[in-house]
Amino acid sequence: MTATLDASERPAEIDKPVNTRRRRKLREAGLGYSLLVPALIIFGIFIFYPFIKNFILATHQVPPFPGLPEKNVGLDQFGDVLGSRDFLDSLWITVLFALMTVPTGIALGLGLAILAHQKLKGIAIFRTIFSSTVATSVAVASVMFYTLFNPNIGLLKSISPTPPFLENPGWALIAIAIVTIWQNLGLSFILMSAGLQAIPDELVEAAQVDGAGPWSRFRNVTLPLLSPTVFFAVVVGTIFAFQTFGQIDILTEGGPLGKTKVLTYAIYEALRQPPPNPGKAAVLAIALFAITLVLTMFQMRFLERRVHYQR
Amino acid sequence: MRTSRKRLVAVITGAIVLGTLAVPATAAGAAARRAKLPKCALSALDKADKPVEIEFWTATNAANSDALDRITAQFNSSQSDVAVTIINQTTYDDALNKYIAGLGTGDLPDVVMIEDTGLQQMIDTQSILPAAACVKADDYDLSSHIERVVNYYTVDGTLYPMPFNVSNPVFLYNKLAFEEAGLDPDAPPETLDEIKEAAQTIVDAGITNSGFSLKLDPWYLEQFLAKAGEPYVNNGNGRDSRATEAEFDVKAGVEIFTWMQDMVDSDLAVTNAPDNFDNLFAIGEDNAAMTIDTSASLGSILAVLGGGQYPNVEIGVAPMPGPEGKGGVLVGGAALYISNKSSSAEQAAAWEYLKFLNTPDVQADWAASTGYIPIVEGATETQIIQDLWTELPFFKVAYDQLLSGAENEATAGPVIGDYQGVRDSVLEGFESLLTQGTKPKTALKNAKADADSKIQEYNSRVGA
Repeated sequence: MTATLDASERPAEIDKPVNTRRRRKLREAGLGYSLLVPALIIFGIFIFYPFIKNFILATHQVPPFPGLPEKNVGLDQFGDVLGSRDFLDSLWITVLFALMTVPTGIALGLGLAILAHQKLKGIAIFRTIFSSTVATSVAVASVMFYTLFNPNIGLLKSISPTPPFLENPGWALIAIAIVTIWQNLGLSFILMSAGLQAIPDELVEAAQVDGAGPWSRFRNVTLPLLSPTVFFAVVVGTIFAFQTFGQIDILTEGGPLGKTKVLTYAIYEALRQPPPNPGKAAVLAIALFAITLVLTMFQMRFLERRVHYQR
Repeated sequence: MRTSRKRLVAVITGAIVLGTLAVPATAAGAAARRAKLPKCALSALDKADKPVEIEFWTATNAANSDALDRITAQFNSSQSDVAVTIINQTTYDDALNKYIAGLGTGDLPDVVMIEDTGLQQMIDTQSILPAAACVKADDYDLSSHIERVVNYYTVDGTLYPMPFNVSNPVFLYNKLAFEEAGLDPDAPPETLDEIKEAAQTIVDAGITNSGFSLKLDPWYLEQFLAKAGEPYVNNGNGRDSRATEAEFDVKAGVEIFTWMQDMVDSDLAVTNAPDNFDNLFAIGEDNAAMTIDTSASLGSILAVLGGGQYPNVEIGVAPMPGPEGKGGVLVGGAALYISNKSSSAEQAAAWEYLKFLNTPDVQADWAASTGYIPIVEGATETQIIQDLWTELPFFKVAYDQLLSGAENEATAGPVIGDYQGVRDSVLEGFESLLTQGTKPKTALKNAKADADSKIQEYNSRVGA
């Protein structure tokens, strides 16, 4: 009691204005922090705590069943898991998957965007159709393609000879890639359309006046100006590809012969397949986090620079 | 005499293992290996308020669920002490996953149906009231059960779950293709070499594109080795003490891998992934004339292939061929575990229900409605089973096959903690063998090394 009184009274006599300013600042800070509290609690519970817990799990050998002791194994688990063939296989499949989906998706999106970038009557209808896949959920897209791919009743059966896409180890990943490309086409189309619309007409017209043909205009004017958008789409698309889960869970569950077991599915399986292994899953999650982090940093670095391209 | 000496050896090795582990061993390891049975308090049921309600988690599909629902309703109305509620988790994986998750949250059933491969994990959860405890408390007679089945679920001398739905693999072949190729449709192959010869004859005659439809299921290796009389893992197939390494890289293993590679390389076999039934459709589509699959789905198999869609097929069912040796096929299917997290009245009630499910009449009804094997002696003499076997002799094949097998460590079946992990290792072995041309011996050796690390990792995680 006395201590607080002393503390608040003595400086008040020495320097009044500074003290009130500081006090006001403190009060404002207090208000600010108290306004932050609800958000902090939510973030704390759903993001910070799981994030930290994930790192703790990664350094522990977690028993498959509750009630058994945990063992701190430090970084050993990282070596074991990240050096295993399972991880390398999964990583390779994920990279393959990104290579299959990202460039194709962007190329198709760009193609459609150029087609729709004409001043024609009723073009809005086509724009709506081209972007419509944005509104489909992963589950819906997967179920649609599941039916199409079905070797007995699927529509693709009439285009013979079709391999049994989802059951064939050599085709399953391609089948998943087709679903993903189709589903992401809408987003890719919207991104590319926006990029095309951002290109000032006078630049293209100037090139036209200079005698450049359509191909030359596209190659030398449109494409370079579109490159920031393409770059953005590549990075974001790659991050999406690394986080693909829904279509794999619905269509193949990582099979056949583990040929569609991408990283996210490997994490899920480490937790799901008895005996569950939360420690291993945590290490895999951190690996995925690191990859996404690098991609994001890469994007920020280069994209920031590219944005000023025109000036 | 021999068994007592074997047991003595087991006790001594057990003691040595325990001794060396004594320092690092945690309570978990010791408890899992404890010989003393917990108490099965049968009297708790008498004292409890009736009816005692218990929850039973199953994992059955349409036809089998209907049969189990019917049987359980029959139990509920036949007495007023116990009321069973069935909650179907639909797949074995889900049932085990939910059970393991329930250990943390407390949301547990009183009885749960777990696949054969989950045995070691269920023991390690330390949440099981061994059926042996109730067998002892109730003076229950297990001698009328098929011994092989009881042995399969007995580890270190203790019967953990009560067996219920039992199946095993059978050989399926197209009799019409055999006939057309000039083979005797009533003398199907009995060994791996004979499968190859039959396949060659059928392909040469141009009846089917290839002879044998090979599902790339690690389960084949387990079954073939048991047939050869070779244990799959060490320490008495994991039954004397916890298995620490795989033992499938033996001569018989190499023989099986060589056969598989040979069949595929010479286009006598087509392969398919383990998670579908393409091996069966291959027979329908004349891509193959023979395959091996579980007797549990015999009903569906016969319905599809004999349903008129494939006039080119007449399915024959025979015992599974395999490498020569003193063995037999393994017990497959699932078994029922009582949770020790339930009250003693609920545990006693659960035991009453399990006893009911193991009566001859119920077993006969269950087997006839599903295709599973009747596991108690009296069941086979019932009219319903006799009629079934006369009408559809196929259903008898799996039963006879199980009874005719030798009784030894190998046919008792492996007990492995991370069973699925070991299967994944073997599957990778299959793949490198069949797609990358790895030598059988090398593929097997790599699979073993991989499996060993998985077995040991699991053991270390449960503190054993």
